Order: sequence, then structure tokens, then C-alpha cells
Amino acid sequence: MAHTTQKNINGVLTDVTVFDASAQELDDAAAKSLWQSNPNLIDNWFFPNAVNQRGATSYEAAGYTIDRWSMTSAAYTVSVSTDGVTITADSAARYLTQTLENGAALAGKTVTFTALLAGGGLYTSTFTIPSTWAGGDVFNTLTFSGGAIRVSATSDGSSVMVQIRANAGASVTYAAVKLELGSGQTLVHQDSDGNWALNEIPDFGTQLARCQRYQFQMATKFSVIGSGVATSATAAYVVVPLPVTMRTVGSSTTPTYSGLYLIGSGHVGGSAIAVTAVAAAYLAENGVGLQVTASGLTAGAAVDLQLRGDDCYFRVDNNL
Amino acid sequence: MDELEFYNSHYLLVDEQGRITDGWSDGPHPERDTSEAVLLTDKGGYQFRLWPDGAENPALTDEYGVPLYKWGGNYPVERTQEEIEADRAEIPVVEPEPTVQDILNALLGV
Repeated sequence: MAHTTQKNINGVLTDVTVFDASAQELDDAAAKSLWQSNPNLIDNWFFPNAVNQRGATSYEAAGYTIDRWSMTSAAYTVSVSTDGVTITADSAARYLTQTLENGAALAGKTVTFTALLAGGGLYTSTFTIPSTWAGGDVFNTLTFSGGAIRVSATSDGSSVMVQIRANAGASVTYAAVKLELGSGQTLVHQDSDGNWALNEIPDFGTQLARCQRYQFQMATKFSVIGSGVATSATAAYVVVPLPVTMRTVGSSTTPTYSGLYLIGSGHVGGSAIAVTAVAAAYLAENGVGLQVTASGLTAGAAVDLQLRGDDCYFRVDNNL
Repeated sequence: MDELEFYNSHYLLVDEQGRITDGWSDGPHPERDTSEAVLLTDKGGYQFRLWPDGAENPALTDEYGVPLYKWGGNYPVERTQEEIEADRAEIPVVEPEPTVQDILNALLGV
């Protein structure tokens, strides 16, 4: 409903339309305004379309799984599907963990940690992170049937980590999680049927770029990933460009790889030569320089670095 | 096990002269052979460090490939400048390849 009235505005009698809103309409409008989404302090948080550079659909060993999320032993399983990420625990409670790079910035801040399960359950907890902490301090744990979400200090106390859990013998599928500043959650809202609906579907490319700050992997067979020059019959210097600047610039890193070959630059003539070693490399802002060992090279010849073996991959692991 | 207490192990390769020639963490490198390695710590972070509060993945050699650190028995120590210089002096000097002008000069007897 609306009505028109006249008001004197700057000396001019002007028609003004006034909208009459009921209390319910105001409530609805307020509810709609909550569909805003605060920045998520967690990377790779939308699990039905998770960034998963390592490419497996099931992880069963200690180490990183989907990007930014790690598990701690081979005693349990983390699987990836379009429903989300599922933690299947053995006889102990098991976690997926993400360490924040700059957790110290959260000291003294009120935050809200929220998890949405694939089955529709929503669990949210607001708390204040202390101004100082010791390694391993637990800031907040919210338990629910089958699992829990937890925020704590890392073991060395240098930062903050978030964890999602499946209790002993349980299997829990998480759809999305969010850690945000403030005392309310902006991960989801209730739709007209009363179901939880996400306030935001994250842009995949943006999430990928955020994750590549910590890990960069290529695994497409026959793709050329870098170029350089042979410096002797057994060595070449190759630069692999990076899509984003990684977390630590200027440090040394030793990439892991499989199925790497050197080919003549531009793939003109000659045969592919298997790489036998990649020495510690130098991380620059826009690329990683590699000392590559092979045999049968021609000193001074331009070379390309190519993925061409079965199950080939090249990974710079700069995870926390 | 409380999963707040998860650590990685850090390893070193030390040559017969006690020089540290390589170092890594089993975080990024879980499948690397450690049979010849020295266990630096089993309570490390995901990335390799020579010391608990040291830099992540520090360069272990200089631009000539000379090791910058040695094994002190229980922990790494920096090699002295004299030790590093001595290693550099042992690096064979590679004569530069003759340039086209050098070859022409030789042919012309210049």
C-alpha cells in the first residue's frame, strides 16, 4: 500500500509517495537484507564444487586432500563428491583441518563459525578468540550428532586453524563452512520452505586462485608447463610460470612430479627425454626456476618441459 | 590421538664431511626415501625449517652449490666463511667457450 502526500521541499510544494509497510513486511525486508554475505576467512569452503588440484575422489593418507584441507593419518577416509566432502572416521574422531595464514589477525576478535551439512543440518557458533594463546589452545568446539566443528591455535601457536570432524565410527558429509568476523552467520538463509539455502555460491576461479597461493599443480598430459635452456648434456634450467604469486617468495622449494619430459623448444625435432631429477628450485613472484636433470641434452639448446607420462603431474607444494 | 598434536618430520642429508646437502619435510614429500637421512625433528611443521623459528625452506647452498650449513651432531650450524671459501676454491674453473671473434682472430693470426 502507498499513498501520496504533499511536502514543502526546499520551498517547493512536492508530491511525495509514502509506502505503508506492515510489521510483517518490515520483518521480511529485514530478513532479506540478511542475505548479504560477509567475507569468508576459509579458503575452498564450498565442497560440492571444491577446488581439488590433486584430483583424487578419495584420500586415505596423511597430508593434503582437496586444496587447503589436510588429514592426519591413513586410518580414515575423506571422499569428494557433488554432495560435499565426507569424512568417514574409524574408531577415533577424525578431522579435516585448514590452517589460516594470518590467524594472528583474529586475536581478540569475535567470530562466527558455521557448517552446513549435505543433509541440511546447520551448526553455528559465535565466540571471541582470545588476545593471546598458547599452541594447541582450543577456542571453541560445537558438537552435534556425528561430528563437531572446532577452532583452535595451531600446535606451534603461530596461527589459527579450523577443523571439521566426524566422530568415531561416524560418516559426516559437509556441504559448506564459513568463518567470519562478527556475531552472526551469513552463510545461509531459510528459504520459503524453511530449508537452509546458501547466501552465496563462490566463484570457482576466485577460489582456485586463492588456493594456488598455497599449492600449484598441473596434470594435463602433453601440456607444456615451462621453457628453458640446456646448460650441459645432463642439465637444463627451466622456468615454470605461476598463475598467482605464491605464499613465500624467495624461498627454496622442491617440486614433486611424475611423467616429466624435456622436448625441443616448440616441439620441433628430437625426441622426448625423461627428466630424472628436479633439484630445489627458487620461487619468484611470477614463476619457479628449476634445475632439471636428464641425459642426452645439447648444451645451449632451447627446451620445453612437458607432462607426458601416465599419471603425470607437477606440483609446487607451499601449503601451511 | 588428539589431532591438535599432529606434526611432520624433517630430514637432512649430510655428506661425509658433515656438510648438509639437502633437507626436507615429510609433509610435501611423504614418499621420499629417508634411509640415508638424519632425522632433524619429528615435531616439525608442514614445511621444512632448519630451526623451529627459522625460515621456511631456506636455501641450503650458495650460488655455486656450496653447502651453507653443517651438522653439529644434534642440530645444524652455519659453516664459517673460511669453510665456504675453501669449498669454492675447489670448484674447477671452466674456461669460456671461444667466441666467433676469438676463432677469427686465431685464423687470422691476430
